[in-house]
Parts: sequence; structure tokens; C-alpha cells
Amino acid sequence: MKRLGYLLKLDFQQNLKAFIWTSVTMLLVYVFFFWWAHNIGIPLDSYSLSKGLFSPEHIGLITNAQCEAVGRFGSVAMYFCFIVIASQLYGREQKKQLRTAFLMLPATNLEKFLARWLYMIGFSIVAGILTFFVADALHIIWLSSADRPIIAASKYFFEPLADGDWRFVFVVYTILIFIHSAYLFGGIFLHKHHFAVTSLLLVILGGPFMKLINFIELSVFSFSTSPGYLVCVCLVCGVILFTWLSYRVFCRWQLTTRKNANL
Amino acid sequence: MIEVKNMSFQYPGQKDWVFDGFNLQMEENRIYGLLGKNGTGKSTLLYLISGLLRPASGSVLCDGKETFRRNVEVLRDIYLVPEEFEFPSISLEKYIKLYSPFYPRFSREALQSSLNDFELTPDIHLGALSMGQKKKVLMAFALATNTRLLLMDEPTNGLDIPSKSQFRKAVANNMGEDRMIMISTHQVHDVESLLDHIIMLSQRELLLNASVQDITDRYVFEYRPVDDGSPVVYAEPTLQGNAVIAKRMDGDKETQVNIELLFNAVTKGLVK
Repeated sequence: MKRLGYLLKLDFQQNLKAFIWTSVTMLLVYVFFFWWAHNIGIPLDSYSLSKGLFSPEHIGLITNAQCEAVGRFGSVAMYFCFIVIASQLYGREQKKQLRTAFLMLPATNLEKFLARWLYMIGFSIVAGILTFFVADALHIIWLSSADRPIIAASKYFFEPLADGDWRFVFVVYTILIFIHSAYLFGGIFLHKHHFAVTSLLLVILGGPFMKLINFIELSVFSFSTSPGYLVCVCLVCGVILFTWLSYRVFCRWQLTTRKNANL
Repeated sequence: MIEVKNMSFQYPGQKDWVFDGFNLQMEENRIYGLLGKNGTGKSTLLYLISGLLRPASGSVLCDGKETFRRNVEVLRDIYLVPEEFEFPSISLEKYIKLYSPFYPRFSREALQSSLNDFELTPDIHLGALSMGQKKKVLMAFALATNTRLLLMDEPTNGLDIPSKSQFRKAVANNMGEDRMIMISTHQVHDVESLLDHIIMLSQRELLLNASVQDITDRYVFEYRPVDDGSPVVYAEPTLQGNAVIAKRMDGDKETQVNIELLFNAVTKGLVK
């Protein structure tokens, strides 16, 4: 347990630059979304606004629509951030010198894997979620200074993943975790271009799979039929398989070999 | 104790085996010199011993445990100073705080003493050091970890002339009874006086595996006049006459091993 703490401290220290850069980038991305929604996506006509032609209700509705758009965009951006971070989990260790230092650290493989995984979760939460709240706070400050109704976009941020039937939410989360675990495996297994290659493989392999589901008329999101459960079970098995394979490849990592030899 | 048993290793995609049925034993309280021409597998052997590479067959054991499994008990006992490494851009103090907790026998005093040997102070920033200084810091840290096995790959590369003697002093000061050090190097003169045991590698085989004491018991290393007709095992012309290796006879004084000469004799198959 103590060693896990040391490893977390070390991971944080070593990846601090990447942590700061990613967080700042995400903050700028979210700020850009807000700017885009207010000025390009769903703009309020500035002439009509200056002449007072809009009723307060109208302004409220448009501001709400703008915040909703940003909230939904933000959800997608957050997930994108999560999978990019997952695919770059061992990016540093592609360098021989850094891999040597990491592998020679006196800690168990499980501790090293777990520490990096926990670090990734923390990193993703800060870079993907907290920065959105910061951007939204800045946005609220701007709204109040512009005499606009104050509506937090944050309430729309989780809406796509928390609204509706719990079974639907369960399936969506399972799919997202499945994709996340696939990127985690890609990040450990592939030598370089982890994100691009994993994305390509998912499209190549996932496309025909979805076609097949459509072809045999299975509804992924339906639990009223047993095939709906079946797809969910397959995805959960996929998550377990990718996580296990990631750990296995990690345990068998060597200094200079082809990684497929480590499977 | 390190035991390499019938080990074979080949890099993927390459035809030639680096090691094929290779055997080696390493004991405590010795400094091993690992010598060999380029490409004979010196660094590979260090990586195999440290568990960074996995043998295709056979085993590398540290106290009976396979090193490639990277058990924490094994890793606590091994420190590798690679030829190429990277330091984070932090202060040495922070580096010590981050890394030393992983080594239960880490000694601040030993680190301070080694830094003194290398004429370095603890208040340095690792990002501001030259390559040679970084190497000295890494070696000081490695010695301070007090791991039972210390592997050094070309430790004197990049060190200036005074630093090489500082290196010898630091290693000698930190050698303990339960410790074994393996130094892989081309710069034989830099470590000549340190070594207790010499291992020479050629492609796939062990050319020589003998203690310095054993070698000095069997041979004398000296300079003889060019016209000296006495029998020798191996000779090389030099400005001081012929540098020779001759069988040590009763009454001959013990001489210091000339490793370069020995290496040439061994690679020509004249000394085994």
C-alpha cells in the first residue's frame, strides 16, 4: 500500500507537464465551445439585442439552448479526453531509457499497473471533467457581466449519460467502458500511434459488428429481448478480456522485443 | 547469488542467437568485469540478469527466483546503471525523496559520501547537469541503494579523467561483503584495479570466466626486452619492449593483470 502511494507520487511528478498541458488544452477547448455556441452556433442577433427586440423569455430560451449545446459537446470532448489519456497511459515508457527505469523500480507489476491506472482516472477526471466546471464558472461570470440569464451548462454535461431508462444508461456505459478498455490495451500493446491505430481497428472491427447486429435485427439497447442482454454480456466480456490482456502484456513487457511476443 | 543456467536468447527478427546454452554464476563480495568486443552481448547479458529481457530457454535466477518475473524482492536487490538514461528535470533532493523509498537499504550517508567522492553537492538540479555529471549522480545513487547486485553498463563512458579515479574510489568505498558488482566496459584501464573476477564474452560463448587471483596465480604480466628468448604465452610489441603473458613459475612474483593484453590473448585462444 505504501509502495502504491510512492508510485502514485512518482507518476504524478513524472507526468506533471503532460497533466498541466492536457488540462489547460481541455479548458481552452471548453472555453472555445462556449464562445462558439454564443457567437456562431446559436447566436443572438446583436442588432436586435441592442435594440431590445428580444423578450427576456426569448433570451432565456436561446441562452439555455446555447448552454445545452455546450454541455452536450462537452460530454463528447470529455469522453474523447478519457480515451486519449487511456491510449497514452504508457506513452512515456516507449522510450527505452524510461522503460528501463520504470521496469526496474522495486514494486510489483500489479502495483505499477494499478498506480498508473489510478493516476489515469484522476488525470482524466481533472482534465476531462473539472476543467469543464472551471470553463462553466468562467462562462457564468461572463453571462452575469453581459446581463444574460445565468444558466449553468454543467447540468447538461452529464445529461446524455444519466438521463432515461437505467437499462439504456447501463448499455451506453458498458459500450463506453468497452471502448475505453480497448484504448487501454492499444496503448500498452502497440508500439506507436496508439490512439490512431486503436481507433482504426475499432472502426474496422466495430463497423461490421454493428452491421451484423442490424442485419439480424438485434437491438443493442433493448433488454426486452435476450439478444440485448447477449450484446451486453459480450461487451462486459470484452472489457474483462482487454483489461486482462493489458495487464498480461504489461507484466511481460521487456526492454526490446516485439510486443506480440509478450502476449 | 546469481545463477544463469543453460540460457538461450535471441532478439526477435534476428537469425543469430546472442546466447545459446550460456551458464554463469556470480557470488557475493566480488566485482566482476564483463568484457567483450562490440555486439557480443555484454549489455544484453546485463538486461537478462536484471530481468529486462526474458530468455528463450534456460533461466536467470537471483537467489532461486527468476529475474524476468520482476518480483519486488528481486528488484529490491538489483540496481542497473544503464549506458543511456534520462533524469527528470527536478532537484536531486526531490529525486531522492521520490526514488529512495523503494530501496529499503538506501543510505543517505553513502550517497553523501559518493557525492563527495565525485565532488558533487546534494543541492544540485538534475536538469542543469552535463551528461558526465548526471552519470556520476546516478552512480552515487546506485551505490547508495545498497542493493546486493549492482550492474553497470559502460560506467566510465562520458567521464573525464579525474572522474574515472573518483569512480574507482566510490565503488571501492561502497563495496560490501554481501554485494556483487558487475561492470561491463570497453575501457578496461578504467576498472583494471577494481576487478576481482573477469568474464570475457565472444559470440554466444564464454571465453574466460576466472578470478583475478586465479589469473595472477597462473600467469605473469610484464614487459620484456624484444630479444628476450624466454617462453611466453602471448606477446605484443610496445614502446617499452614486448608486453608479455607468461606462465607463472615457482618463485615468480605476482603481477597485476594487464586486462587489455589478457583480452587479446583470450580472443586469440591462447589463454583459457
